[in-house]
Amino acid sequence: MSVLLFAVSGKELARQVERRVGQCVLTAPTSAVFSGIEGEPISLGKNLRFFGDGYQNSKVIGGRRYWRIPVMDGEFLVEDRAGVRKGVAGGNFLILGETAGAALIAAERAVEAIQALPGVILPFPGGIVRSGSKVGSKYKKMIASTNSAYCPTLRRSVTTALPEEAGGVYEIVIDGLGLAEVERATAVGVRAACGPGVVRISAGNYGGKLGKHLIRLRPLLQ
Amino acid sequence: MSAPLRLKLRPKADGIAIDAEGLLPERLAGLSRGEVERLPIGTGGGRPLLGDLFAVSGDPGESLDLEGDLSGFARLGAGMTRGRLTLVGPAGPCAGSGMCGGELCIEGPASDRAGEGMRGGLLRIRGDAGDQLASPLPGHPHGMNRGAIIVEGSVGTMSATRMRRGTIVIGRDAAPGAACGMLSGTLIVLGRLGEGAGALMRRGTLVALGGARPLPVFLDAGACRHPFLELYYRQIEAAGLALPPTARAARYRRHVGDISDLGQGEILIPEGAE
Repeated sequence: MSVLLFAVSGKELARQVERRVGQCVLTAPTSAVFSGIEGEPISLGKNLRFFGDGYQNSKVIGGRRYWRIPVMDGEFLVEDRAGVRKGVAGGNFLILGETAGAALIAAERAVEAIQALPGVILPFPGGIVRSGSKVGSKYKKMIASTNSAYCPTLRRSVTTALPEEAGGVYEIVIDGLGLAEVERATAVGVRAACGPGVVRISAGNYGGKLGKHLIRLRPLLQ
Repeated sequence: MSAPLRLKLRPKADGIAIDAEGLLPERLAGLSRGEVERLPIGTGGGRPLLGDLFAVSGDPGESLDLEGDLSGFARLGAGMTRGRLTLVGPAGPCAGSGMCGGELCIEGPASDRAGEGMRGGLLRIRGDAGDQLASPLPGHPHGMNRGAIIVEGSVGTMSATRMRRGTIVIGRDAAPGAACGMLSGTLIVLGRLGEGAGALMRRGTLVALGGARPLPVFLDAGACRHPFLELYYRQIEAAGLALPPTARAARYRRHVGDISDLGQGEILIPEGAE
């Protein structure tokens, strides 16, 4: 199994990787962890090894260092360092369905198609987001708040982006190793989502204010 | 693209005994063929010239091929830091002594003390190796310290003495006394590991795929699987060596010791191969 982890900074990522591997992988039966990409090195087993309480030992194999940490089912094998590089996070598209149920079925089709692709992940549980957000809020401390233009229940309260026939919206969020991977996944996902009960495919562009990359759906599918 | 520099031993030089330290691709690179032929070799007065002993062809560069019975040539590849040196034929004592980079490939057997004091690079011996493979340099407290040695045949006694780091793979059997006083590192023997292996070892790993009889100062710590071995096995197969068919499927009995010393070393033996 391969896992891509994303964070807002390399420092934060290093902290999270170590914490999560320690909590979720070290603890799992028969597991081992290896670095899957080349890039700026961060600690992986370098500090986790101390769990071995002095009984850990390292092996350098093929120029890479690994730690053998004794655990109750044998040994946990972990690479000393993991690679980090800049990626593209937050690529998205919205599926507007006649009903929430129809939109959900379409979103599940999109998720299944995207999950087969290399170099991308869908960072939210199940790959589907119901609480899409907009930048800013009426509350000063909030940097993001509900995407009111796509909330069916606010149709008469705010300037809506929903067509009359839309009854529910789901968002697919994509993180990838690069722009090309995210674009490809977006195209594959949109194509898979289109089907009965889908009224429109859109995307959150946040007025073009958020992030460096702008992925236009129409050229992507032509 | 030019052909690599090739030195073929002349028939009249057969049986000559000489210290061949310095006969390295990195030393000859940048010289003309004529300059190579005029280089003296060996130590002391009256040293022969390379052109007297070898027929020289090709152009100096990062690769150097030596061809002939070089069993009288000591310290071939000694101190090598980069490039590729290929010996087509048997090599004399102390081949690859103190090498710290590059690749030394011996297309035949190697004599005693090959890879002594090695600090990096790759030493590959297609045939058998003599006694004291990867031993410490005279007067040094540690043996091999980084790098890799692959011997496709068997090795003589007292290999990997006081090894500090690095990896050694033996394609067939290791004679008695391997890895005595080992400090760390890995020795993998695809055949049988001889008697007395690992005496006084502090840390490190010996893998005996063809079985071994550990000394009484090694305690049987039970059998389990060791995922790190798979990483070695991939490298070994990539190097062209065939593993015993049971190497991957077997559970390994772990013997920890030497308990008369630090006791953090291990000898791993596949179940059923003891």
